[in-house]
Amino acid sequence: MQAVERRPSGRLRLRPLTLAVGALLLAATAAVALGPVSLPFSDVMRELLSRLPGISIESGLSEREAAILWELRVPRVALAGLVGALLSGAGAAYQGSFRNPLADPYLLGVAAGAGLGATLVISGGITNPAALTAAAFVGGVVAVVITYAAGRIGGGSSAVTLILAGVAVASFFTAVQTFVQQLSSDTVREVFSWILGRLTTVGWAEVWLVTPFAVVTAAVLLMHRRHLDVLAVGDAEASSLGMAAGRVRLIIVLAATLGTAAAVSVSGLIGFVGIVVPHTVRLMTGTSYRTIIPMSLVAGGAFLIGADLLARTVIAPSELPIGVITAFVGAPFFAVILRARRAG
Amino acid sequence: MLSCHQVSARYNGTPVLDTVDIEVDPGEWVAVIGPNGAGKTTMLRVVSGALTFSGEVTIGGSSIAALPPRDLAGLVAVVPQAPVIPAGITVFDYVLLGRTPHIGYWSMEGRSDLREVGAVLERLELSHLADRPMDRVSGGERQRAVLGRALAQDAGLLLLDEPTSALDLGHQQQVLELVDSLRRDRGHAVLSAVHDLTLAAQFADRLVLLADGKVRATGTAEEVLKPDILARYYGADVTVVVDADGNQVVAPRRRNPVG
Repeated sequence: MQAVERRPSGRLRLRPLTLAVGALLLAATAAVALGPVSLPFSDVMRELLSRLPGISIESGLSEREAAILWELRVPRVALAGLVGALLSGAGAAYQGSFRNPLADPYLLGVAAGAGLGATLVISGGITNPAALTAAAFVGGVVAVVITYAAGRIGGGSSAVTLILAGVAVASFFTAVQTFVQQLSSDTVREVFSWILGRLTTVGWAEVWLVTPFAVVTAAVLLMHRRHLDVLAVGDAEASSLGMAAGRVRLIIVLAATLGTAAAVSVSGLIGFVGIVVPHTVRLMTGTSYRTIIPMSLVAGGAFLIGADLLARTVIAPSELPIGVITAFVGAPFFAVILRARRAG
Repeated sequence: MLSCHQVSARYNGTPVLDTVDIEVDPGEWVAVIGPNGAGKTTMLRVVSGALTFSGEVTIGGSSIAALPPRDLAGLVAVVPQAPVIPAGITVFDYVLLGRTPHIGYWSMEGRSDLREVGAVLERLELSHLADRPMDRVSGGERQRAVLGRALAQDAGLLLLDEPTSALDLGHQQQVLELVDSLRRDRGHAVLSAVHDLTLAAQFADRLVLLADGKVRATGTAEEVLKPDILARYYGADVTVVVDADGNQVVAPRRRNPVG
């Protein structure tokens, strides 16, 4: 009998990916079409199509309406998509490399560290966005290193210990951040609105700022999805399989932290994306990172675009901070995961 | 295949191995025996490259101290005592992990890797379970899959750390018979730490008795499994009988017989 050639069951399958891309397109379409200023749906679609090369149709939108679409909504949707993809991809990467289902940029303190880094720069009167991202990256790396070290001191590698350490680090960094903020009262308002997470005032500048980081982070994580599956057997066994576990983890964590820092520096602290999305992906498609990483990137974009749409329409014409929406969905979800983890 | 010369190692600062010499030829099965804390597992950890040591360890002529982890993993495959089984992983994907040292850093597995995994599953009679999650197969099948991962690694030396300690007697025999037939078919050298002296005597070509980190006796079962030697290093009171197949059977004796 000839052996049947099988393929890894953890491989990325077309159907869930198509579903996720579909959800992303649907969310993006809804988000550009809906807003406080009502634009006719068919006109919006025509306007979008008219920008494609080789197509020239009249959209029927006025100049002002077209400006609302192109200068407010589209960049905002693009940025929400990028930030969502980064936070949820980073969450999946932290979960895999720390072998901890509760790890997430927010809960590990990375976002708070990045926030402190960015706040220091803002308070120092520096407005260069690249400096903001660099400072956020440094802050995020410092936070994740402290969390990881403290989690190990606190009695081994229990999933909950790492998160306790993360919460402590996050609280401490947030406290320092508040202190710095109060010292520089002239920038307090700017920092405060930024902390709660907002995508309100963005334009193309932020999109272009975050895009290269998103590309680098996504590429590094995608190229390490097989390694994350090997790390799942633990460092000792991964090493005996010929993988330098420590170095691989370092690369993955740095990439995830870079992505988190880029996301935080343009959108502030948005919690729970990195835990809700990868776990939903896991429930739907299994536990292999070959699937979880790409699916989390796409679904994370869709999730945050949807959350942002809610944030700006629920109490229109005012806006909710987007962090409120993600926490509202994410906190109960987190409790469910924690419970399932305890039971299992 | 494997040559350990004057190997000493420390674990958390305490000396655990003291100038140990062990040789394993291709196709040979050597069992490391000894009381708890004798250094059996440490010895295997040294050979698998997980622990720094002094002395010289060569596998297939290459000194392991100088080898990058990936090259070492191509020479020696480890079957851990308590393997970590990731939640939800299928038998196929688990065995595929064994191909890790053969896949380039930036690559994914290729056809030859998939074929190799298919062949291993066939050999271990696991093909029908390929898509079953590891947590939904029996203990014996899971142990076969763990062995399968080591075979997929395609290394000449197999290290087995108490490979059957979690299995019942029937499954213990099954797994050991399987290892035996594999090393005969494929010429694997096997170095295993074994607790059960009778099983060690039945399956290994040679025994190495470690106690307090030193080699105390080495040779065939007949030469090593003697009541006075076992009394000295295990503090055990045993009778060694030879069964109908000519194998040494180590049976504990009551020190204070009833009546």
